[in-house]
Amino acid sequence: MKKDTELAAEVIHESKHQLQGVINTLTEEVGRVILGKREQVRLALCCLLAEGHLLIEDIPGIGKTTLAKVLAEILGMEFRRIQCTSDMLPGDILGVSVFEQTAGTFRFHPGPIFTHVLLTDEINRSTPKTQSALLEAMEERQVTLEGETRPLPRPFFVIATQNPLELAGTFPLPESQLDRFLLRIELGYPDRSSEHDLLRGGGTSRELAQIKPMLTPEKVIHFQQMAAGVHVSDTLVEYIQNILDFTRTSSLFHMGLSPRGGLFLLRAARSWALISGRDFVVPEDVQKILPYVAGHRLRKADGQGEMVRDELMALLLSVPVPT
Amino acid sequence: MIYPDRQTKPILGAIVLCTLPHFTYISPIVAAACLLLWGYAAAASAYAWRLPGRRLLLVFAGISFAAAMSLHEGFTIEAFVALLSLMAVLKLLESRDLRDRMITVILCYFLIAGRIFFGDSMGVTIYMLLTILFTTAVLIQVNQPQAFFPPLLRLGGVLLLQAFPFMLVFFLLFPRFQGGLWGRTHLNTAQTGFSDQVGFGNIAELARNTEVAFRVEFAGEVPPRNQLYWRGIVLWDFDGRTWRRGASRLSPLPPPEADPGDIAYTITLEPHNQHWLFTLDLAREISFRQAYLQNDHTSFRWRPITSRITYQAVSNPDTRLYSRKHFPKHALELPEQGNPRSRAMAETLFRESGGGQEYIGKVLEYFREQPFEYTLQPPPLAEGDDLVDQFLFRNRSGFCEHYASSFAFLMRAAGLPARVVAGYQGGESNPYGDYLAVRQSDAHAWCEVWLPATGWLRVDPTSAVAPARVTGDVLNALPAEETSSLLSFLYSTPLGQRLRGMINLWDFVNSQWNRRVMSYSANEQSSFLTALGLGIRSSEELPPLLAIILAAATLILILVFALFFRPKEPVRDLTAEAWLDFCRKMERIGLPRRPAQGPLDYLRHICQQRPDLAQNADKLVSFYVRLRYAGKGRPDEIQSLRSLVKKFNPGRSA
Repeated sequence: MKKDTELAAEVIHESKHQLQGVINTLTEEVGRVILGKREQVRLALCCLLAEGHLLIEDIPGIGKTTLAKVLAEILGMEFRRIQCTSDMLPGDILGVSVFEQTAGTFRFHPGPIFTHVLLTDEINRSTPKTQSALLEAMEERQVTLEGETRPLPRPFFVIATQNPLELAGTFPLPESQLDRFLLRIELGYPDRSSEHDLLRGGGTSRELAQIKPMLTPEKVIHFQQMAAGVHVSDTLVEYIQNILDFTRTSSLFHMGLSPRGGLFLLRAARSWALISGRDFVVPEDVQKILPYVAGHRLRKADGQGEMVRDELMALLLSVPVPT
Repeated sequence: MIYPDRQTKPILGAIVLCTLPHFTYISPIVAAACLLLWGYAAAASAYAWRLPGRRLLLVFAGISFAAAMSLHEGFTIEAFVALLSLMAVLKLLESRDLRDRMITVILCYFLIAGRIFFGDSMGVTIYMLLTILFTTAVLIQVNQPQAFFPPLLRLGGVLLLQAFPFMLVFFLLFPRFQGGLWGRTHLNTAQTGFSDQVGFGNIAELARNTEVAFRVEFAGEVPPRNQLYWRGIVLWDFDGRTWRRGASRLSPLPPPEADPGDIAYTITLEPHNQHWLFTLDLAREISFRQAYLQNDHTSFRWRPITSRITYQAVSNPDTRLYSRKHFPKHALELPEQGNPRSRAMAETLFRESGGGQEYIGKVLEYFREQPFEYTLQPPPLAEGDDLVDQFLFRNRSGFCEHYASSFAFLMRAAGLPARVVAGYQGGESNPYGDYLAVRQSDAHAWCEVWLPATGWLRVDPTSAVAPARVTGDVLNALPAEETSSLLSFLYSTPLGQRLRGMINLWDFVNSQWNRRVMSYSANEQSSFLTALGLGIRSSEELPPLLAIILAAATLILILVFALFFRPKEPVRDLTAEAWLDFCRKMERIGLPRRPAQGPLDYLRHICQQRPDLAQNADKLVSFYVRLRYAGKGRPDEIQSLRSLVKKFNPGRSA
């Protein structure tokens, strides 16, 4: 174990600046298609490097799908897309075995999940059964069908979108399944000048076609290993524990963050530190990604609504940073 | 902004449980304020309301203090308990950290202990134990916020069981002082039980109070019920409205000789904050420290009875009341004016009868034959001087004190010396414990008349009107419409019988509890120690000696704990100290670090506000961040950080 981290630390030291450049170029390139959303792009990259999955929640037509497409394209990874509907079955995602008369055997036809980047559009439109099949695969990074376990390709990155407004005919994801997404982000409307450029440009399809792959799956895996090796000091762990304790004892929340929530928080913070060009995590990294990690994991004290961003910020302000 | 946290609810629960038993003793206004504050705390916790600020709480605390003192007659026990009740919930409202919460829970323990001032019956003790258990569980939860509550109750129970041996040792060995810690009962008891005067209507008020006044155990047979007159006080002075004891003209009763008809018994008297003890008519001997029989056969103690006492007495119903050859002159005194009709009737009746004995008979006959009614709710007598006239000729319905007062008046008006005796009559025998429980509702008043042939003679005019009152026929003593449905249920249905049995059983358990546990006093303690072989000659030496032993034991315990359970010396965190020094320096020039602010944010803030400091601050902060977060700190780097901080001089605030 120790050897691994030492090795990772060395790797980081070498390629930290390389990565810094890569991230900036990536953000720049994606920014040409997704106008004025640098922050969200960086968060999506952060999520990818932390080996987590991303949930984008926003109204239709805001650019969710485009973001996913651009990311897949630019990272040089295989991209598949599922449009979720209520009559979809697990087999439609995972794949099915079909009897072939000529050979006299069953042959497995892999489903769309066997890819690097999977975009599941409107995940809350599929039935709980399908949702759970998908989310299980996300967690375990393998598919078990008819007693046979098939690993999914690496890296494996799921971008799911859901529409918060359309409630008819949807099956909202329960907390346990929301928990599998490392980050949840909203895109939001573009600012005035970005939208001006967008309207002048007449859509994103032209820019999208010009995107060239800049990385390979192997590179991505390498960067992911770097992120996992980012140093976390005892003081920082203490700070994360302060945050966890606060969510558990404060009456603002229905339920506190789970230990897994804490692990995810740490993982995302590492990744963010790497993106920010550091090989160690500082409290600011945690503060930066906390709203995106905790937003879908905390319920208000009445058990009904989710926390508003402002309330999460208030939370941040009440947890002291250890000295 | 302070929000209530998740632990508010269990602590609030503990406060409510600990305060509720005080509600009957503290002022209703304070109780209502407590209810309001509890409601606010509960709602604030449920809906995440903001809590009041410190200044507002300070104002509340001031008001609470003033209210507690003014509503409970100054610095009384009630006032302190009321103040404690309010402060506990106010403290909850300002709870910010573990220390605050601990203090709140400890206040709860004080609240529990405060209940002892108001009574120590077994029910109360059990309730107190349960609240201690709950509060202990809350105390554990305060320190372990993650834990689930129900298992904590078990853990609390285990802790209490472990503390039990200590409790036993303290119960048996802690120095006890005669007369309790405060030497005064609380205000409420001072109001129950009757006072040293009998007017028209103040015993009737007691008749609905079913609290036990005292319990009696007879050595032999229980005398018949119509003999059970429990003598309390003798009243001489009548002002037309109220009978009072008047100036004391009494002297101790000379010791009588033993008589075969003597009845020996033991009385356990609940505290009533007065000076007299109750004895069966007529007491010959009473054995209790500082108490003696007076020559009107009442018993008196110099210090008021502020805690439960047990005493033995010997009575003989056949004893002639001790009387001097001549009755005292004031046994004939009446107000100079008033009640002309009664006076006229007394004269007429006395003239018609041959002597005192016959006159008494005639008056009793008058009571028996005229439509007099025995009732708990006599029509109120009008204001004025002629209360006896009003009662005898107009209202004609009243309680025992009406009959006793007017009878004594008629006697004195006819020239017969008479006085009123107040005490209790009857008592309910308890089948479980073979004792009589005499309740406040048995309060009674009767008369004594002096005749040359017999001396003082007991006459109970109430028995002429309502014989059932004296024979103990509860259902028929009062007019049917005044017999409460509960009473008739208890006495006439099978279920009521069983319920009455349970009430008796509970009373028996309580009496045993009082006798065997609660009566453990200085005397018992010294005899217990003698039995242990620790006999000490004089009981006065005992308390100081025990105090010294206990103090020594405590000191040794503290030393042992200090030696063996000393917390580890915390390792000095030089990095943190240096960082805090830096933050303090910055604070002095008006750039404090928010507690939730990370070092890099803080640096950015400083660079914006004071570009002149940017270079030094940047160097310093990056050192700190490397040491703290990058995991690359070396001892010499800590030193350089310290010297950087030492040299750092932000100058004056801009």
